[in-house]
Amino acid sequence: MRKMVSFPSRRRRVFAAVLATPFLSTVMSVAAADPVPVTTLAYGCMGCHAAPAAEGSGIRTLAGRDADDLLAAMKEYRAPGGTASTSMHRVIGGYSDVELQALADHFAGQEP
Amino acid sequence: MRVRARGWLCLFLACGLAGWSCAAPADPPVWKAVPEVRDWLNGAEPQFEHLHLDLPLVSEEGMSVPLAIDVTSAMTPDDSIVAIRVFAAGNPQPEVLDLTLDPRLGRAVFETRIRLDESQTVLVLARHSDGRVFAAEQAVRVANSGCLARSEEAFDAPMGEPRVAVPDPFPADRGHGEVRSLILHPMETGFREGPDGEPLPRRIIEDFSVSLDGEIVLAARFHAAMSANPYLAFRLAPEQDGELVLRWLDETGEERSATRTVRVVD
Amino acid sequence: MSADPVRRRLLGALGASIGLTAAGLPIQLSAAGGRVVIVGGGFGGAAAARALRQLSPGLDVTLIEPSAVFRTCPFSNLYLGGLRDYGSLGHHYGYLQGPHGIRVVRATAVDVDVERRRVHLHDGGRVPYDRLILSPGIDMRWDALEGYDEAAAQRLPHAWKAGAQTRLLHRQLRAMDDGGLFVMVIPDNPYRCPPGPYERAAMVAHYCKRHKPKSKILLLDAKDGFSKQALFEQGWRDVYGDMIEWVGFSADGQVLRVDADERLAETAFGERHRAAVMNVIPPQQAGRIARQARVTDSSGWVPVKPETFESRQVPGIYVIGDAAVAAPMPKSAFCAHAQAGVTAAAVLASLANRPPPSPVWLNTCYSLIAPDYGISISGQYRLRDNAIAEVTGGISPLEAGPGLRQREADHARDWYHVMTTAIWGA
Repeated sequence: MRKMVSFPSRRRRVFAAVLATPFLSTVMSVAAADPVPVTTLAYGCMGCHAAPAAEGSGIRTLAGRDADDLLAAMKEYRAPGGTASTSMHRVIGGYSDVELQALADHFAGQEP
Repeated sequence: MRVRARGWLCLFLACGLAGWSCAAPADPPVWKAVPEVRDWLNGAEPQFEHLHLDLPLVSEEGMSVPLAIDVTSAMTPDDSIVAIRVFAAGNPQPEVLDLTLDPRLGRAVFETRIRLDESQTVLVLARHSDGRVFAAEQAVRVANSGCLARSEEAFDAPMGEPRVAVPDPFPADRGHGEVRSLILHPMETGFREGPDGEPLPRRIIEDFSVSLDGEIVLAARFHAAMSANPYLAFRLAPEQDGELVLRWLDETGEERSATRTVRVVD
Repeated sequence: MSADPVRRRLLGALGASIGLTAAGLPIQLSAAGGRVVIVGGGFGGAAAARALRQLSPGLDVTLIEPSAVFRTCPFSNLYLGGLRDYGSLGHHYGYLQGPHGIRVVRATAVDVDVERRRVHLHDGGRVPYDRLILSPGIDMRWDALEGYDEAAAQRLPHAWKAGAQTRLLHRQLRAMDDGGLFVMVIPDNPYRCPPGPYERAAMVAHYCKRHKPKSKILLLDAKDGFSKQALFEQGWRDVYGDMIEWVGFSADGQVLRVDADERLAETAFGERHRAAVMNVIPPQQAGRIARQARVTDSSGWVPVKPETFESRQVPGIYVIGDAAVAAPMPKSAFCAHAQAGVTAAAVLASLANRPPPSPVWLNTCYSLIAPDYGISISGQYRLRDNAIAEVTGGISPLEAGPGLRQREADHARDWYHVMTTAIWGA
């Protein structure tokens, strides 16, 4: 992350006159106590990828696609310097490998 | 709406508040825990009354959090608030704002904007002319939202021209009116690095004063936790027409002032 | 929570299914009983109804909404800019009622009897619930800005709830003379759709550039900074030159008083701006039913438990969308949709007397600078230390070619189509 302060403490955000975008900080580790159910994970994707409306638009539908292809595409978005997109590369970093695999399997198992 | 299970409701309220507060219940109160506060209290025990704070419960960005202070006081020479201190102990430095008041203000009512580095409890203390200290505090949750994050621009501007709004005219018979003041200034905290990785030198306005016909009616010390472009609104109750001078002095020695004519209704 | 009679009743009724799920198998919730009532058919409420029926196809779901057609605030700025027609903002509830088995009650919810768990309707009707989801959106705070009340809004429209107000502002803009001054009064945070005013400025400029090129757009803002500011300012400059001027708090942008008859805005330090058209976006609060249900706090918004969006003040009532204090999640349509999914799962878990599943929420907000020029912000949110935290996200780059701006504009349109179809459509 952009280093801006050298407080002796953990405090270093707002007090520093101009705030660094929290986004620029490294992605917080995904270490929630309980796993997020795949239905909840997948619901989030439906904000843009809900079928069948996405069909024919610039946004791809996910249902019924090959799990390996989906996983590879998601990991490509997540890789440093990976596929440029409008928003995928910004939100994908929050998912663990296990979650991405679960999402790929979930969508692959849906009727296209 | 009818709620019979009031106890239940209270329980939920209590749970909610517990979840929000920043300090564990066992922690000593801020006024006891912070050395700078203890020093200023100098043995006095604050009374949590006569002082009202208005702060948001949740701030989505802590750069400029509106704070309103209202101390109940007639502001007569024998019965007045003489000093107010604002503390934010969750900041790297707890001091925010020191105010020294004169009865000619008419009311001990202020509005300003402050910086809060993280979720914390803001404490305000007010010293009465008889030595009592009134207090109020409020927890503010700072939920930094990327959506509202400001762009990073390096401030390099000198002090700008001040803005001052004065009621014209003021009401008669010691009626008070609100004076608003703002000056463009980066209030660089000294805790921040520039693009080259070097710490940006601290540069804040330290002193602000208001004189009415040559006599100081309000003196303020601004700390780094005042927002950039510091804003302060206060009350004034002039008895007759006169001249109001506001003066800002930053720590490089640069000074700005503004003069306004005061008119009182006949 | 053992005091909850509904839970006890359901616990008995659902013994079998709970036994099944104890082994950690995927929950089959179709057996879950309970009546879920949703107030408000916007992005949050209608999505919650859909999500509940998707997760639990047999569930008894009632949606209370006074309008036959829902008009979206998203893309209402495009209507002002002349990029879309008014009809395209409207979505009806036919699909929710028919194929999706949601009972849609066309009525205004006026009160909540928390003790008896019933929603009171304007016509005297009573709708009982086991779990209540409020998605009431916002109300204007008519007391917050001197001179701005409901009558003043007929001359100085807010257009911050899509509908008649949007049409009024559209008419005023069309009737404005070339060279007229369009003034927008913008409140301090929090308010619905943080980037909305700045997209609106761009869309008004888009219209003026083609039809009223001598006009100016003046933004009087109570804040010193705003969402995607650098991107907006760059886009405004690149596309519209100096047509749009933004005045923040420190430059005396905070408006303290408006005069509807004179179309005048007066700032904190005494500037008076007279407008040809004035769009006043006043401070806001949670929609009225949230205040009636006493789930709001002194801020006027609704504090919620972050993992479920159940009210901190009244158990059994969940509040999603703009009305809830979800910071750092913004008050956006996308977030309302995301909250609907998480809260639907939490409500079903609650009915089955199970702990709520772990949540994750997403957000993406597109803003259009011009028909071929889009920018966006995205974020992912999770629970950290029992609070919502932004775990990752970002905004469009400042340095980008026309290709990316075009793609973002296309994605904005695609997003609107997908989201509205997923909620109200087939």
